[in-house]
Amino acid sequence: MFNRWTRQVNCDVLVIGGGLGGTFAAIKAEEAGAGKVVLVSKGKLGKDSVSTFAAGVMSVIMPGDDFEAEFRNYALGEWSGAGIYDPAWLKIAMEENYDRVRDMESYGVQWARKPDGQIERRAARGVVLKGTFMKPFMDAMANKVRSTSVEVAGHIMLTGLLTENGQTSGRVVGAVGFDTRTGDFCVFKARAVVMAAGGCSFKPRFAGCSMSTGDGYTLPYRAGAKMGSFELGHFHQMSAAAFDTAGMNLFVALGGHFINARGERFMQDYFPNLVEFADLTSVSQASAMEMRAGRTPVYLDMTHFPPASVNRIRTALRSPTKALERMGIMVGDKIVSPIEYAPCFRGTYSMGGGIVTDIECATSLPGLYAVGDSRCRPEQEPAALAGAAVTGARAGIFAARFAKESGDVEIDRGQLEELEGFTFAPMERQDGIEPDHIITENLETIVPYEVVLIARGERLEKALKEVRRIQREEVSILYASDLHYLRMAHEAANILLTTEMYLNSYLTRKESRRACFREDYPYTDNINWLRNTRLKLEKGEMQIWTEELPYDSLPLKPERTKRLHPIFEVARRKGIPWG
Amino acid sequence: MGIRKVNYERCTGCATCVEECPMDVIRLDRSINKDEMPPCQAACPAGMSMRDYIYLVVQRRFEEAAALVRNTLVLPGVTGRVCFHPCEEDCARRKVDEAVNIRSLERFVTDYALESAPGPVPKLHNEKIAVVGSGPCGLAAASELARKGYPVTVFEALPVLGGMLRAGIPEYRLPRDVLEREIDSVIELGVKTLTSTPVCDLESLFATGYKAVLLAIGAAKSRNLAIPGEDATGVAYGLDFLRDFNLGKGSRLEGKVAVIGGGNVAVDAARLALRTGASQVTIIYRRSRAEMPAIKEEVKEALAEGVRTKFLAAPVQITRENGGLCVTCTRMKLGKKGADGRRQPEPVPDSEFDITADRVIIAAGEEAEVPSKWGLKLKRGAITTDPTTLATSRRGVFAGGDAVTGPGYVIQAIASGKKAAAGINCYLRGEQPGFEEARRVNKPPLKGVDKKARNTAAHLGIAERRNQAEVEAGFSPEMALKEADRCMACGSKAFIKYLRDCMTCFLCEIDCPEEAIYVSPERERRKPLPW
Repeated sequence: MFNRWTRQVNCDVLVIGGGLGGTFAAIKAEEAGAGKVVLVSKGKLGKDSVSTFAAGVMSVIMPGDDFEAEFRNYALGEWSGAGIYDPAWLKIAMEENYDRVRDMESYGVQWARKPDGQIERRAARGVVLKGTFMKPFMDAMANKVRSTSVEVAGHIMLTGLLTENGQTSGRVVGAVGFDTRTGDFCVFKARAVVMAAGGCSFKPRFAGCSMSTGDGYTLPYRAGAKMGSFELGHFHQMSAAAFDTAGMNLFVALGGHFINARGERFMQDYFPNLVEFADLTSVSQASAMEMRAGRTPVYLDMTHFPPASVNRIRTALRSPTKALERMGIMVGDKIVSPIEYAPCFRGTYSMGGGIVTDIECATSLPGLYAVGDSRCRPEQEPAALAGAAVTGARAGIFAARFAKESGDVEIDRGQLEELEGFTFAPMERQDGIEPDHIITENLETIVPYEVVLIARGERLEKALKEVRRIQREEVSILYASDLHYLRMAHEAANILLTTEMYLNSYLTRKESRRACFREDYPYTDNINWLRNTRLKLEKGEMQIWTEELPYDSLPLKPERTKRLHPIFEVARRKGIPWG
Repeated sequence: MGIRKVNYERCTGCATCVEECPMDVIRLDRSINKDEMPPCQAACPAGMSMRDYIYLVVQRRFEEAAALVRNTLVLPGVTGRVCFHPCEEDCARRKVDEAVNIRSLERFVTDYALESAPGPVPKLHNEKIAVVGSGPCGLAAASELARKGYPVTVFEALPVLGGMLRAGIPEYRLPRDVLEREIDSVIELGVKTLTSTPVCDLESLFATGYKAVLLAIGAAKSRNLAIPGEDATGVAYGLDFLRDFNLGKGSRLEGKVAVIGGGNVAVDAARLALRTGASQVTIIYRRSRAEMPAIKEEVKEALAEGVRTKFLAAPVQITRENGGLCVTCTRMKLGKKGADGRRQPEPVPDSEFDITADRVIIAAGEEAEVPSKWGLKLKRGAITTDPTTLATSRRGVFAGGDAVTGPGYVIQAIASGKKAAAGINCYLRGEQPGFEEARRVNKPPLKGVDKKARNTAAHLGIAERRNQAEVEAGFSPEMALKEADRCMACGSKAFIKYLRDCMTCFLCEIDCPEEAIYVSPERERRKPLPW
């Protein structure tokens, strides 16, 4: 076993996470003259993020597009904000989108092009305008980071944020964690910290996101940051039932469609206009309703794809291509059979809960900035990759400014000792519960479709109670036999805490809106629920409350009405029972 | 259900998958190929297992690393500073970027963990052994034999121990406290030492009860050039010059110094001359820089310190004129490769020229001084031995180091001492010497290894090198960890350690440069479906 060594790095800006948002933050902070920028990643930079496995598509809003129409879509569209949006933020997200696309191009990211050289955009799920990658882009982003003076520290699992004088809700002055290969206790002292550690995947049946475990939520939460909007995220993705595959975005963009057990294209009933282009959660909810009606399994059918489309999948999606080939579904340039699909609980990606920030990506904790999936995103801004790029760059720039303008910081020795103890506790224990057990228990609690996919107060409460029990009885005695399991132990704890934030927020929102889908409150209630949920750690307890949207200052005002959630509406029409 | 197989025929242990796996599923198994030697170890005359001790450094287990080093090798504090490191020449990482700085790592662990030296060993045997000479060969043999439980006595003609380590190698390369420490570690094993005790005849040794004798007398006699004027005032031989200064008897130099020769003695003498008052030092060598037998780094440092060179010049005569010396040289050109692989110099007709100097130091090679009354078979001035046991033509007498091979490097002398000790043990125990040749790792990692710059310890600024202060500093622990991390642990294989955590992302399979990994997309249904 390794001897424990303590490593301290002092820097001006510490970026936590190396996905698209983290790399952008590091690059832009360095460009802004932050001084010493350090990027910490859990694995190898460029290989350890959800962006590495992104489905090859990113929103691109270009000069010349109808901004007003787009703005309306994002702010009020049913699949989108459905009225809950922040106008100042949405404007920035749309305006800066293309700048980031250009940046990425200059870093070596290759886009699909039309014969005239313009970026080729295709309609894709949920959003109208999309740009398509030709190949995975994180190598280019990682290489760009490596070509700058940014110091990259890989294979480090961070376990806590350091605050001024060790105070909860104080200024953030760094972070601690451990090297997952050597067991070094790693201490980072920083004038500003950018949290870009992504969302939380809960380690589901879905490839390409299991390394993301809510680290970006739990560290700031424990430090006292204000969090919010966890219930509004897209928690479900459709995935093959027998194996894991990403790539839905591209499959659908190329014309793949869903059929139910009877061979019906059921999405035509639920979303006559968008059909398969409806957002991830809507497809999952529709599938769940088909389940209620006894018409599952559902399938994704791509057997009609011409060779050009199959080859597009090959170039853009390396991992899914391997999986499809090995399962005998992709043969040469043909897709030979429909694939059994199922909703897959896959976490807090592209929109939803996180650390509440202002338009400079600053959080409620001075010196802490938040990016991408770690950030609270109730509105469906040009989200996911585009959102990560825009927020990454902004967080980098404003964190650099903060670092330059603020004074030097000091680490509180008491807090450092406490965090060191906390970090290594699962390995110090002689005995206890394995992280794997807890992760599986958590999934068993929330994955059944009647818990969160079609929710009801009692069922949510039961799940929340169970999650709190696991936290109380099992997370407290997590056991790790080596460094790999030490990382997993922290991941398991983070996943459980994120689940608690999620279920708690879900219970609080007493309506159905987008991903938040409750049989007991089936209406989208714009009279009472143009509100955001907020939560925070206070005196060791999770405090939860709601904050009203400033309705009068919204440039586009959602109608003050109360109407049935669109999926319930269709279900009622189709005679599928609920309630 | 996830990653299934690593094809060990193909896997080179490049660790691409280990580095890249987002789920931390794969590890490098460094123990899988224990019977295959990594190239560094195969290149080391003493067979040091760098891969193993560097891995201990990676694990922050510095004391254990030092103990492992000392277990293989006596005087690691010395070789960590002055070794010509053939391990680094053969390091597989050279094909990726630069060799691992093995020598500095060896120095680091032994300097860091001073307590790691093994203590006294109980005496298991009665046969007394005499080791003649306390240089690296003698000390290595004494240490090996003492650890096997023999009573060993080392005889040293000089008043101090260390042989060429003390008399030959200048302090700025090997600080004397380090040398003392390393010699002490041998004495602590229970080795007896007798200084100022030259051994004149072997019979008296056997007569006083010694059952075996190892002649580790080195090559302490300077070869002459056999040119006119070699005996002029102001002309000295390299070894004498070094010995006088190193033993505190030398006087400061003045004016210009010409050093003849291209070996380590020449370069040491040149650098020492600069440090002891010479205003200008010129090395005269009959071949070019590429053929110099001296350690490359030493030549580089010498040039950086301002030593001048006159290559392709062979002295033909030294004359005294106007109170100074004049070295007349013939210009040379390089001809065909000789038996040693180096291009042989040939004189250019009518090309003589003069170099003036106040002092001339001749370092044109050294040889052993073997009294004829010892009655040993010699070949070109060196003692002839059995290549496996190092037994000489005389029963009970063994020989090792420079006395057998001619002037070589410290590590070769140490290796020779180890071998002689094994030979003596076999002789005394009536055993047959075992002979084992390890297989070399045949496919070290090449593709897929990320470039990482070699770490080099700080060197004294040129202006500060006017005394005997050590030129090269050691690694800090942080530097050592960084450098140890560069070792590719040749012969290792990727190993699926945490199978159930695989998320079937295929990254390992896609990025494996050797196409050695197979992933199955199907996952176990341990993790629930919504229905």
